[in-house]
Amino acid sequence: MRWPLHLTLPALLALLVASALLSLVQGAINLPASDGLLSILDALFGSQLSQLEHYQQVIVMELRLPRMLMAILVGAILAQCGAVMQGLFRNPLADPGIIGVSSGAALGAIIAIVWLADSFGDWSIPVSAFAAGLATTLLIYGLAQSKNGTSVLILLLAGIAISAFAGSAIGFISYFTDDQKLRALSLWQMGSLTGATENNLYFALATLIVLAVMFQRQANALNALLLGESEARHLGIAVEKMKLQLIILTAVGVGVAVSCAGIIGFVGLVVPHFVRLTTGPNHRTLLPLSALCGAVLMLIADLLARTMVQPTELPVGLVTALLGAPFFLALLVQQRKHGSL
Amino acid sequence: MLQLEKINCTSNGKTRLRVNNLSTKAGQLTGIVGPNGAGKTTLFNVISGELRSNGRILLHDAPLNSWPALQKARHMAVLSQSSQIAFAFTAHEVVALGLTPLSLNKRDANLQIQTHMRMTDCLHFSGQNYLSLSGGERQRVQLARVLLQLSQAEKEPLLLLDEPTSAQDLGQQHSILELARSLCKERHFGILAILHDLNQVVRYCDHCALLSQGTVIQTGHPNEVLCEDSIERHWHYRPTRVALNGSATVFV
Repeated sequence: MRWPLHLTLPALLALLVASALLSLVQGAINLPASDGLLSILDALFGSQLSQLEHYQQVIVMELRLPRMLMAILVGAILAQCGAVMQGLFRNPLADPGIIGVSSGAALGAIIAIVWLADSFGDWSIPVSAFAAGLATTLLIYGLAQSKNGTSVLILLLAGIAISAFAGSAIGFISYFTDDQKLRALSLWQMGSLTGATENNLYFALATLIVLAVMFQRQANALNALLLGESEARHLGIAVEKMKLQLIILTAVGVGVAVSCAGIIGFVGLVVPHFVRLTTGPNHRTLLPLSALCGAVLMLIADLLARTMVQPTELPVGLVTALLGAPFFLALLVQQRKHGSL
Repeated sequence: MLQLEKINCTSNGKTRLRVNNLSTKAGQLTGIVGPNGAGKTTLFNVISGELRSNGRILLHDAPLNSWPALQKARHMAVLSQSSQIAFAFTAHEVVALGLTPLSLNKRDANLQIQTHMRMTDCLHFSGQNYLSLSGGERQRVQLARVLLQLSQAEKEPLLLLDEPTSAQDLGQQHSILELARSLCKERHFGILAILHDLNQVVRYCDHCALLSQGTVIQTGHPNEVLCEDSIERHWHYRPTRVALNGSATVFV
């Protein structure tokens, strides 16, 4: 039984607003919800509505707000990329983290952090993450694709191999880097939203908008592709062109998400699957709802990461993995039952 | 409407299909017959452009590869043997995929979906999960999808059916072939259907092409092409022809 769209959409929007507000006022220091909201209005319109002390305003505006926005953007990007990848591979187990694309992108980003950022500037990190993510996606796609469709086994095994390779390469690089960079690298590898800056935010926002628009334009084609490539061609879809375009776009998305927030796994796996279960697999609704739901999940995961072990905080990637890994196992069991593994 | 001239399709240096001349007219139901591995599905793959070949394939007198993709999709559809879909779509949603090359408003689209589902007798399970349907039901859903795809054709459409009755019970086999015949007669479809039951070919098709070892050996009226001798030569089984009341005959 599916949930009707006219209820799901407002419910998700309400959840998004609620969790966004909660992430502004909850944390090591709890603030009254109304003041959290008012302080944003103050900052936007120069009013004096909130009762917050100056240092509390700084916490809201300079620490929590960028982080909240980054959680929304990265969550939405990762969930959309997961949904598109699953459509492209025609398999619910495709996720940028599981099939190794995130690891590939992370390797690219780390190479840039250690060697390129000093001489080429901050842009080298997302660009390098994108390039490595793209190369990984193309490699995996080439390996897993055969005449009879996509081989799940090769998909997952290639993911393991690539993650292992990227992991050891990252370890190798870390071994030769200085202590200060090492801590940044290891935190970043576990996924963290602490690095949200104004530039990063604009960059992630622009990426999300471009991806959302381009993906939505391919929603019908992605639906048709689920019948198989030949069938999609018979329906008038330029399959090769569309596949290449979507592979590049997902690599851009994963590259940007990784360069902004490190490796955050399972969002791209869990979210589209959940949306498919509740409102169906049609990409026209799956893609936007996944973006919303991914943003909500990321906000909640970040909130948990900040509040579970106070006064310190966990990397958000650990939390999503903690939530996502059991889900992944459940999905595997379910797939085995249906005989698709 | 469809003409194949001097087709030669090779892969890895081996000839997979050779067709000197094959054509079908609008309003004609052509049975494609031949033993296993004769190249029937290869013929469909060549016509639909999935396999490259030398030679000319013309649809309404224009080379098929010069047709714009969407125009081509509105005039030529293929019902293939595979009926997989990756996620849990409803039967209604699978049929709706036939709208991909069309431009219909939501109301007309829904109306068309229902009409075509009724046509192939699958309207009563339109809300069910496609993956939970039987092979025969899935095949009928896919048939509704390809018929919907052709519903806005400006010229007579071409439909390729790859074993459309393989998963159907006896009653459904005949209603699908009746439907195919009425599409030819009433809406001037040109249909090529790969069929294994030679009695069905004799009963429903106006025309027949016999393939063996990758070559179209003979074309003509089913009664001429399918005689005891040619069946024995290509299928290695000699049937007995039994005359029924009137002029109809069956092979047993």
